[in-house]
Amino acid sequence: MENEKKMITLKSSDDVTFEVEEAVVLESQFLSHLVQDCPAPEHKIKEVTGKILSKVVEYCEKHVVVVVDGGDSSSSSGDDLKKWDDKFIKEMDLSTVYDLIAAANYLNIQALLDLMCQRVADVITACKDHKEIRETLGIVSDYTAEEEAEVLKENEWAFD
Amino acid sequence: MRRRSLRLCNKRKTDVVPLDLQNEILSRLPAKSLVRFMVVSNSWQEIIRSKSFIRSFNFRSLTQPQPLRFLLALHDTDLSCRFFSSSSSLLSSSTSISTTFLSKITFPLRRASYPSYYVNGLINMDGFVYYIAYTGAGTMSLMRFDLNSEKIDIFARVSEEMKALRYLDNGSRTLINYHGKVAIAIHTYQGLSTIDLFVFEAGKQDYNLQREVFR
Repeated sequence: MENEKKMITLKSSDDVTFEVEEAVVLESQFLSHLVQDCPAPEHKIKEVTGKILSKVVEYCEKHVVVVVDGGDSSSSSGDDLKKWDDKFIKEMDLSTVYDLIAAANYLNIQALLDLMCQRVADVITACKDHKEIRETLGIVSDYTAEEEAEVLKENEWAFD
Repeated sequence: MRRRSLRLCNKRKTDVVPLDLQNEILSRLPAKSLVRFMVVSNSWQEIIRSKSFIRSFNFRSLTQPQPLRFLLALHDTDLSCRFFSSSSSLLSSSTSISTTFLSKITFPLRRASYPSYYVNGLINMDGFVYYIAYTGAGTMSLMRFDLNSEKIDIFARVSEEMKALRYLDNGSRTLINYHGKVAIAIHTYQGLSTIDLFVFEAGKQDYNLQREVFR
């Protein structure tokens, strides 16, 4: 029983399928409930595209191994995992990060959500001022010119 | 290549990252520079100034052992008030301590008969901030601001005995935490080596007077 790995197929909104071990699926709170409640071999996830789901699966597969082999000296250590996470996010553009935030939120994978939100926070922190933040994140300010001047003036003590 | 925008600026249903997740992102920013991010857009400002957001910051800091911190409020010309707390321990030897912006409130009492002319001697006890304010014709009260519900109420009235408060400069009107109770120390009579210590009892609408003599 222990060695027998139950496989589950996940299907993205654009019908890309991923065959994964059940343990991988359990990384997601949402999917573990889904698998428990309806034990079908295939689950369609309408809210997530194939491109994003592949990232989610990649992340969960990496992280599930560590949990299972936690005490094993030969498995990835916390440091290795951190390095892997760093590489994982570095290769990603912001648009993918946003999609992954939405997916991690929907599928309820807290660690992935944390990682992605931290990534955006780091990008914001690296910006030198509000203009650069807008530019980087593509935010269109909803302040009128007067409002902006007022907010700037109100908070000028914070800029030095 | 056009990057997809976060569309943080409005409440359209097409938000790529919904508001609660923007909250997640913003709560990971360094508290020290949060105020700078308020300038980015109105909705960011709304998030940063929201009660739930401020609370999430409070909660996080409460999970760590708390060194002594101070709380500071700056009174603005528009009768609003900004609260700050020190980011680091007061026990540290550094002479400059960075502060964290907590909240800006506009006193809801200003249109009522409780104009708050000044705020000073703030102390934070159990999630409450206390300050002395003028509350109408010649009377002063100890006000209590609940950081969670953001409600202000009159905790105790300041009686005749404490009227000397009015003639003191701000530096001499300092609220202190006296064995877990709010107290105010007043050096009433010049030349006398006594300090009147008024201790406000929690739940009661009066206070005890203790006279301390310093030699």
